[in-house]
Amino acid sequence: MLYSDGSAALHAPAMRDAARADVIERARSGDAAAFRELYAQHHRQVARQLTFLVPRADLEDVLQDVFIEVFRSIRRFEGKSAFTTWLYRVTVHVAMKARRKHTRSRLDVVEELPESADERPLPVEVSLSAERQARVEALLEKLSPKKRTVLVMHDLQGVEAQTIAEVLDTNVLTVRTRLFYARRELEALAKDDPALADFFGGGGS
Amino acid sequence: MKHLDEAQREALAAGVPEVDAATVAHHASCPQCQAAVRDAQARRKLLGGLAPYTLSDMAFRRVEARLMEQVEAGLPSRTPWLAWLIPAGALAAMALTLLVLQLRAPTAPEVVALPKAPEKLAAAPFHPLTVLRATADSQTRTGEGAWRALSAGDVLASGDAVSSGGLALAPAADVGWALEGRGSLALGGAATASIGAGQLTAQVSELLVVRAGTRQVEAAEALFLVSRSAAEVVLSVAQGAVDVSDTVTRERRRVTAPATLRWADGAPLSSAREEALMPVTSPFSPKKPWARFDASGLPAGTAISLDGAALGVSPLVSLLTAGRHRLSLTPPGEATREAWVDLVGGAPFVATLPEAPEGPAPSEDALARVQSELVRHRPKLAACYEKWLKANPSAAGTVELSLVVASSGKVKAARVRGEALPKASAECLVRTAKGLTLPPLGAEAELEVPLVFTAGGR
Repeated sequence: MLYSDGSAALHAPAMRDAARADVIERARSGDAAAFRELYAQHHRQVARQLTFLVPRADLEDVLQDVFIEVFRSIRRFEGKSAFTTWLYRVTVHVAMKARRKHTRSRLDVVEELPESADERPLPVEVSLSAERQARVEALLEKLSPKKRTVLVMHDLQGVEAQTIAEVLDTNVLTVRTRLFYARRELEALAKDDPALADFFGGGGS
Repeated sequence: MKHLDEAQREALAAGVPEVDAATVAHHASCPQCQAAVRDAQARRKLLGGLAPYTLSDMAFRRVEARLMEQVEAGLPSRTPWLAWLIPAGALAAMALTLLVLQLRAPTAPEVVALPKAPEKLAAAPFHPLTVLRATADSQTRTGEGAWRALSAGDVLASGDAVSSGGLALAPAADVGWALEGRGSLALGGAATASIGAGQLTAQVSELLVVRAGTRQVEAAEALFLVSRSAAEVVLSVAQGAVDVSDTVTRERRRVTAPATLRWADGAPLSSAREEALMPVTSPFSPKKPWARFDASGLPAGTAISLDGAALGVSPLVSLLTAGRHRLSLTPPGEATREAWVDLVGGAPFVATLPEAPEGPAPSEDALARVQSELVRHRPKLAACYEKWLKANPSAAGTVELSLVVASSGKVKAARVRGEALPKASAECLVRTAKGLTLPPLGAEAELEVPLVFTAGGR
């Protein structure tokens, strides 16, 4: 696992906290205040789970879509699994269905230019680490939603294949197959990327 | 033996200690599996280097405001056409009724119906507003709660009161309002915005209702200003038209641009004095996505301009359109500094003063030392040329490398210009140049380094 997103909560026993259960119950009956509490309790966790599943520029919109879906379907949440598990499932499904919303650049570095220059700097001036992050994120976006979801959940969020299968309503074999192809595709894409090829010993000087 | 499977390759790539001897032995003797493990290691390194990110608090608040607005208004149906069936049916019925009325009364008596004061003004929708910019003295409170400081990025909801020396507001969701105001304002309630004492400028393409004393201004497509002070209300309409009504007498009239009217508080609507036109400037309204631009850390009084337009004077915090902008900073009594900045939607940006570009010109000796240092790095630069040669064996030519070197000698920025230079080589040159630390020049300097690439040495 490369970093943990705290998805261990997936295995937590169902809602020990009576207050939280009460909030869910009130949200199920359409109480707007309870829904606001649900958002307050879970927005950071959902945003973390959406990281790399959707383009960075779409994170805000997709977070909103997740909670709209939660509000629409919370009546169908019967408490058979932990709420966090159900929420994770909703999050992943909304992320998989999300269409690319923005096309704007996601450069997040500041470049200083000499005063005399009037033209915008060439893109190659982006610092390497920020550039590498942006490139890898762009490669993840090139994978199909199914492959990307499995790769991000397994290799970045550290979720077990069995749990991924449950979240995606599929079997472990399918998850492993998608993971295999997602990894090969990502490696091939990275090798073709001039800024990343060095990692694979292909473009080194 | 078969080749290593995915799990075995991943275990080797991860350096898991408990890999069995047979796997290790096969790996040692199989170049194909070694390559696959190397690829897996590279991929893991690549993914492992990714920095997790999240939204800013401002973005989280924006989502919350939009969500609650939708929840309270009732979520749209997943099949929106169903929702249209009823209004469409009502429209059809109305059309039919009109048709019947026309048939029955083709020559109506010449009575002009006066517009009635609408009864449901109080129900005008309020949309959560994001603070785009607020002066340092700005405060807000909800209901009778305690006053708290108000700053760019905060979201105001119905029931909030504001006291400010100047603030710009825009709806958190896509609603056609842009507002600028000062003084004491109340949001929501009987009107969308009510002015205690102060003024509000609004550019609207969707219904907005503003109340000042007994004057109620409704506008759906207009640029206008309402101000209330010393028992007087002034309305200035610069574009479009607004409907003014008196909440006590129910009088009502339409004011079309250009017009400026003044009333004494409580006076009949018809007693308005027409005044010389008051200029109304459009409210500050940067397009979305917004980034939070924080210039509060700059020396006080620093004049700030963005893309050539004056933004204000520090301390200042403002939401601005994300994207690449040319930022100019002029501290009091100092020269202007300029820089390109990338504002990322939803993310904060803290402006800092770049080092003064002026300084003593680098000495000849210092330049000579830099030149010899660059010569020392020639092999690294040549490696970038080799990439070019790979793509085109006859590649040759002059490439201009521009460097911005800090006074410490660190290369701060690099850029290359050269016809036919492939992207991979250009990136390689920039990367290499940015990794260089040259002998200190004593001042920040911009160096133009011509690189002559010829394949003769090969």
